[in-house]
Formats: sequence, structure tokens, C-alpha cells
Amino acid sequence: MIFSPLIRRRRTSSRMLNSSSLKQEFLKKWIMGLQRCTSSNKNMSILERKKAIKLSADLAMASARNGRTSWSRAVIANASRESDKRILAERILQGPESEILLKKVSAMSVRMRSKKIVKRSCRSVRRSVPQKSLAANSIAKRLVQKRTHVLKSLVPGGEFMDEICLIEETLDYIAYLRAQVDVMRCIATAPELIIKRNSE
Amino acid sequence: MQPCSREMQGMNSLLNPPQVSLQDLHNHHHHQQQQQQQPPQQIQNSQIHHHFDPTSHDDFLEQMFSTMPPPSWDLNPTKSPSWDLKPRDLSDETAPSNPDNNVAFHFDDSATLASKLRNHQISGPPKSSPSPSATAAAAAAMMLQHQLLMSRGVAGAGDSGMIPMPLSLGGSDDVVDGSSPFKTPNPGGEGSVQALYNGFAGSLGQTTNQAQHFHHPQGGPVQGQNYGAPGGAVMSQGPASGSAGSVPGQPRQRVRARRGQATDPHSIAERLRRERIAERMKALQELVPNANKTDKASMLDEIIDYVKFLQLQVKVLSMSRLGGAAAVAPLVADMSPEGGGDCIQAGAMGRTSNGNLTASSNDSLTVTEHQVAKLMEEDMGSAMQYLQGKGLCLMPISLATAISTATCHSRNPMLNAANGGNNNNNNPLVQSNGEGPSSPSMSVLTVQSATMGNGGGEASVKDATSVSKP
Repeated sequence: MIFSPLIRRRRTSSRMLNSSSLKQEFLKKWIMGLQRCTSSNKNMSILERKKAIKLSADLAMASARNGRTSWSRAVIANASRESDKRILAERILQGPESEILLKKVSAMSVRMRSKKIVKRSCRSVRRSVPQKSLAANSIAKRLVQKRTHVLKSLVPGGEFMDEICLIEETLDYIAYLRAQVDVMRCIATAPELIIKRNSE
Repeated sequence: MQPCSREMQGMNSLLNPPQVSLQDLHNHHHHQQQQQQQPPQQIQNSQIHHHFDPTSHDDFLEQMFSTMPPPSWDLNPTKSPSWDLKPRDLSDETAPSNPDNNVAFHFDDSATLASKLRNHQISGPPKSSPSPSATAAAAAAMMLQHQLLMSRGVAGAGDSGMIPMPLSLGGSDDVVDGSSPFKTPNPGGEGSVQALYNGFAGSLGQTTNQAQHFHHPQGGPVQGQNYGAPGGAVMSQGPASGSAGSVPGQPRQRVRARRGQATDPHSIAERLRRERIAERMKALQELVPNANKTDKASMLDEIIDYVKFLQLQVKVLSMSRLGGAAAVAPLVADMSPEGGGDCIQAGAMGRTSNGNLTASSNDSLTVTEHQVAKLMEEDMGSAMQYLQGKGLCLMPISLATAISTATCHSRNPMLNAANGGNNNNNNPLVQSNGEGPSSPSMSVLTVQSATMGNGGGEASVKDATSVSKP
């Protein structure tokens, strides 16, 4: 494969000890997903293609974690809701753990839905309580709360976690995003490098 | 300790004027060799403290035993003699009231410190008349301890200065007169201080005077600092260990006893939780660039920005794979030679650091993306115009990656440099929309050109017209 030497050049220091192997795994699964996507539908628009790429990338990464982290499970859960995406997920998540994982994920989705309902009711109750906004401490707390809320919306599956888990998940998610960006960038610059090599 | 050091400095400045007279006194008194008369300005506070001690000790020892010859002042720079002589001035002549008060102030603290030192450090020898050997051993042990403490970089300059100065005052007074201001305010303290010095005297008495003086520059300052350091250390240890009861009237207890706080289970749990969060924030700090903030809210801000930035990058990079810019190729060839066809659509969003813009900016970005994608399929020129209308523009991937990595380290310089450039179509740059202080406000969308698709062969999906690379 052309891509493997390119990947080996990138030695980013991430939290994962085996970042390069992680990237390789991600790449493999990603390509699998892409092939699966393109084989089915030859004429996709840019947006569709972009979505397919992104989706397969997400799923590939999530599968790389094998459901160890909550956000990966959430990603898979989100994907499994639609039938065609679910097929893709199943395709990517090949392996012995896949069925177990998918079952877990489906259970999780039910849980998540119920949690959402609970959260909505809680929020409505909370707003009715008047809050003192004079103390500096309370202001700082509210700032932090606001930002935590934003972060929860960013990290997939982060809405139902407490602060500690949220920060852990964020850590993992950031590592994953970085790896993904690196791999994609490699691929983006790969043709350029090849052309340069050929021209030399 | 702070006020003491400040006052020391004040006294330092006060010393400068009467330097000449003091030097005369020097010469008059028992200074055998007064070699380098270093100007007082050269000597800093720490040195004062250093050289303060040997003279004070010497004076005291003289006073105590009246057997040792007067110490040679050559080893001690003029500062310390001037320190010593100052109290003499005070006692002999009318001195300004300030130093008097300062002296008294230092003096009280030192007395208390000395008493504490005595209580904590010297356990064996009785206070009244310590045997030389026992005190020597104790003093030696103390000195070793003190050296260890000193080597830890204790900022004991202030402390050491504090303690020896009043002691020397007392000593010098003893030398000059029978009465000493040292004695009157705290007679008990003086006795303890004398006991301490007896210990030192015992250790010192083992060597010859000359040897003593030779040792002084190293041993003296060491002793002085050690003297100060254990004082400081004892002071900090005392309150910290919660044995505050043994030291009455300690004015500097800053460390709260930890025992009393932890009884409430709620607070324990909360503290655990807070500690856990702090741990993980620290781990996050390594991952996220520009993460030197200590505030939780700003750290969260950085994290949010970084996650958004990465997500956007992924989105853009995934778009670049599409090869939908096949129509871009002819236009791309005219563009800058750098990318050779790789164009990057850079949307620099001057995002402020509040999260209120999240939803709106995300939506607008996706809308923009869709629009641009549509336009690109038809005509690259119109796509470019559309982008420029939005305040975005195209740039080569290499430049964009360089900029994005640079922004990770420093916020604005690259962007400003790029802004300083032109907005030509031929040299695409990044435009920043009100680049604010927030962190990665660069979002990079990559669009892979058809030429690359041709060359690579793997990622290209559509056929592309061949473009000659300039």
C-alpha cells in the first residue's frame, strides 16, 4: 500500500502509545468503508460523498476503540439508527466483537433516549429556580457550566456524562481527531508527493 | 519574613550614608586588616546576611569568653562591619529613630525565632551552661542539617539576615557597653540566644582563630544561612505539623491545619472529585496547544475551540478527497505555483471566546460549504467570488497546513503576515475575519484538485483534465 510509508513518517506524540498502529488500523477500516460506500452508489454528489467519507472515517475510528470509550459507542449508536448506515457500520465493525458491540450499542441508544427525556424535564425545573448572580464564585461556576455544556454538545455521546467522564472522553476524542486529521492529511498530500517523486 | 527583608533593605540604604564614619570606627576599633573596602553598593542583601553572621558570632564569642582575640575584619566585607557598627552608633550616638524601631522589630522576631530554635533543635544540652562537647556535637549536627536545608534552596536570606542581625546588635553592644538594647526587651531570649551561640562557640573553639576566620567565609555564611534556614524551616514545620500549641505567639502561621477540614463526608467527596478533575485537566493541558491557562473556564474554552477546530479540519479534509474540483483544474493551473493545484479553502473565523456563536457559526459554515461545493461543480470562478464575498479565499494546502500548525503555537503572527500579502487570485492567501485572540480560529477546508487525482490515482474519483504544473 502506498499509504503505509506515509503513515510511518508521521510520529505524532499522542496519548496513545501505539499511535501509528492506531492510525493504520483506522486507515484500513476507513478504506473498507469507503469501498463499501462507493460500490453501492456510483454517482454521488460532493456532499454525499463527503458525508460518506466522514461517516466511514468516524466509524472506523470508533471501531478502533472497540467500544471501550463512550464516545465511540455513541457514534456507532447514532449511525445505527439509519438502516443504510447501520449496514455500513456492520461492515466496518467486522470481527468477533462486532455483534456484541452492536447489541450493546442498541441497548445504549434506548438508554440514551430515556436519559434525554429526563434531562429535558430536569432542565425545565431548574430554570424556574431563581439564581443569585452576585457572588463571583457563582459567576465563575456558571461560566464553567456553560462551557461544559458546549463541550458536551461537541463530544459525541457526551451529554449524559458527568464532568470527570466528560473530560476523559474529551481527551480520548481529541487524540482520535488528531489521528484522523493526520491520516487524512497524509492522504491529501500523498498524490503530491508521488508526483514530485515521479518528476524527479 | 517579607517585612523583615524590606526593613533590611531599608536599613541597608540607611547604612550607606554613615559608611564613612563607620569605616573610621572600623579603623579605630579592633580591625587589624581591612583590605578590600568594597563599596557598599556592591554588596547585596544576601551578602549582608552572609557576612553578618561571622562578625556577630565573633563579637558574641568575644564577649562570652573574652579569650579570643578580636576577629579580623578582612574576611568580612565592609557591609557587615557597618552592620555591626550601626548599633554601636545607636548606642553611642543619637541614631535616627527609624533604625531603632527596625532594630527593635527584628530583634523581637529573632528572639522568638531563637527561642523556637532552641526548643526544637537543641534537645540535649541544658540552656544555662552547655558543655562544649555536647553543644559542639549538637551544633555540628545542626550545621549538617542546616546545610541540607540550605542546599534545598531555602530562601533563607531574609531569614538568616533577620536572625543574626539583632544578635549581632546585642553582641556589639556588649562589646561596646555593658548595657545592650538586646537585653532589655527580652532578657530571657537573650539567654537562649547566648546558649545557642555557646554551642557555636564550642564548635568554633576547636579550631584556631585564624582557621576560624578562614572558615568563616564558607562556614560563616553557611552557619548564618543555616541559622536562618532552620529558623524558617522550623517556623514552617511548626505550624504545618499542627503542633502550634508548643509555640506560643507565633505571628506567621499561614498553613492551616488540615486535620480539621476533612471530617465532613460531603467535603471529602467534593475534594476528591475536584482533585480528579484537576488531574484530568492537567492531562488535557498537554494535548491541547496553548494550554497554559490555570483557570478552569479558560481551559475549557481552549478545549472547546480545539475540538471544534479539529472537527472542522476533518470535515474539510474529507471534502478534499472528493475530487469534485475537477472543474477547478483549469483555473487552478493559473494560480500560485506553490500548491500546484492543491487549493485550500480557508475560512478564518474570528470567533470570540464565548460559546454563543456555536450554533450559528456551525450552521452558516455548513451552508457556506454546500454553496461552495455547488458552485465549484459549475464554475470555479464563481465559487471564488462567492468565497471572497464571504471573506474567505483559497490557498494552497501547504500554506494552510503551515499556518494551522503555526497557529497552534502562536495565535496571530502567520495570519497577520498572510494578511499583509495581497488578495490576488493568483496568490491565494488567508483572510481573517476579525481575527480575535481566541485560538484556532483558522478552519481549513481542503479541496483536492484534479491534477492530484490524476497523479495519485487512488483517491480521484472523477476524471480530470490534465493540467500542466507551472
